[in-house]
Amino acid sequence: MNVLADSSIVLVSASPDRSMRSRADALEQAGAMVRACLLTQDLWSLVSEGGIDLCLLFVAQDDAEALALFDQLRQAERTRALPILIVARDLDDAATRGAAVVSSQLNDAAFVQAVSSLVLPMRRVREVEAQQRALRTELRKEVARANRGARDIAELGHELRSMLDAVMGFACNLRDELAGPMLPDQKSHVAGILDAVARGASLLDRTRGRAVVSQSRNTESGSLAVPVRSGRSLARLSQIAAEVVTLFHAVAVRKDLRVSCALDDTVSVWGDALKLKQVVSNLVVNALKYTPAGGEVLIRVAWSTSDSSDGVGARRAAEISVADTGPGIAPEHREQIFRRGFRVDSTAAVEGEGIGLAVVHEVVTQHGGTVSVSGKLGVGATFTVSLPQDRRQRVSDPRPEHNP
Amino acid sequence: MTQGLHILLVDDQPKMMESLDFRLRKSGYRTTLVQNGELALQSARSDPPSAVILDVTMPELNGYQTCRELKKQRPDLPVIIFTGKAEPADRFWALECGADDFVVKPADPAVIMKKLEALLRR
Repeated sequence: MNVLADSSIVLVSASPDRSMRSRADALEQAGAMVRACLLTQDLWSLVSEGGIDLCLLFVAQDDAEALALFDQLRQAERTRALPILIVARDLDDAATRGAAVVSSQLNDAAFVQAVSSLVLPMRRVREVEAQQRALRTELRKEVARANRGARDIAELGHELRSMLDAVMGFACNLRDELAGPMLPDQKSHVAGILDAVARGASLLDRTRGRAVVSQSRNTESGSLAVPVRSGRSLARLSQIAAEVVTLFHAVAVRKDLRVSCALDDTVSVWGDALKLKQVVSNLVVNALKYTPAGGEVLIRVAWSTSDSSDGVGARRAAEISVADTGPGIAPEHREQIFRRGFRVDSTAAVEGEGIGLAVVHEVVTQHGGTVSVSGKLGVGATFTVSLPQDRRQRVSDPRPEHNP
Repeated sequence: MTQGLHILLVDDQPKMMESLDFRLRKSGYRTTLVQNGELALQSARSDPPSAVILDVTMPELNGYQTCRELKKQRPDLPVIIFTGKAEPADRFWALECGADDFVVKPADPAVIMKKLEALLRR
């Protein structure tokens, strides 16, 4: 196997001389594509063209200029990863810079072999990089496809509900004998139809419930997502709470409810901002739903010291609490309300499938936290979410695009 | 008790309201079915209903916008939003646009009747 075949090698020198010419010939005979250039100017443009497998830098005796160029290449962002081999008579100067060097005393055959051994791994690196790029493109396409699929499912769900309702409507009319008296066998047939419809509706509810929890930042339209890995970042809880309050401001006004906030700006956790926003949303939604007109909802974000029993000492917890002046939650229901499908009052004027708090519970658990409810029956309820402070105590997101 | 009470039904696919319409008429209500928001507003002006049952996904004026307009015309007109859109966000658009109740499809029409009666008693 000819390693040098089709590899792209650049020879750089202050003053091209006969020896450089003969090296170039030798490499070309071995199959390489060789380009020669004088220092600096041509080299930068070649680098920006890309695809250089190896750069051979010819350093003459006391050639400060060439060594300075080497330093430059090593420091500049776009050439830092460029493979450079120094060709020099005097190896010490080059070696002290941590450069790979090959002696200019070698004959052409030995020289070509030395170069080959360096080119091989570089080509592998380039191949792998190209593969990665291809994979990334594929992944982006897959995510887009998954999102489209999720959107289709959401739309299908909606259409199906309407169809099921039509079936249910007619079957119920038969059941209630609005279309005339029913024989026992006819009644049992109708019961069968209604049973199937109920199972269909329950299937739709369950599917939607799962999809809501796996909602990810990657969904462009914010639609339901089939599980796609979502991103974690430093989430400032006061910002999330403020956004949720703004979102539901009109509703609160319409329901004549006073919403106030006490938000500590320093409280942040390492987590999925979108899911945390869902948590706060669901809690606020419940408060608005169940608090009668004229009531109050208070949203608080603060640090609290939790007694840590893991021997590491007290670790701070980030707390979000939503308190309302609604009817409150009876002590015997306080654990069950976080279970999927549980509703305290199934005849409530506003429909619900009882998944809001289940979602809250699931997301909070994923973040290593806890959620609980307290308060007095008839006075109000306070839901408190407690999220452990990030062990690494990150207070700013290390990723550059997240720092203002 | 239901005599003279006029219910306006709004759905871009009239077949979806057919069984409810049948039940309403059997119970003595008078019903009008229209297919979009604009027609709903016109009908509400020319033949004021006692209550409106409103679908959400309709072309041009959707159910929420229609509800808002209806409430502007008559704030105390009972409006029930009846829809296959069941996201948590949809509940809140319903509250926000002024609807008096929100029913998710599929629903037992007997339950819708009860809700309607409760609203009409007010």
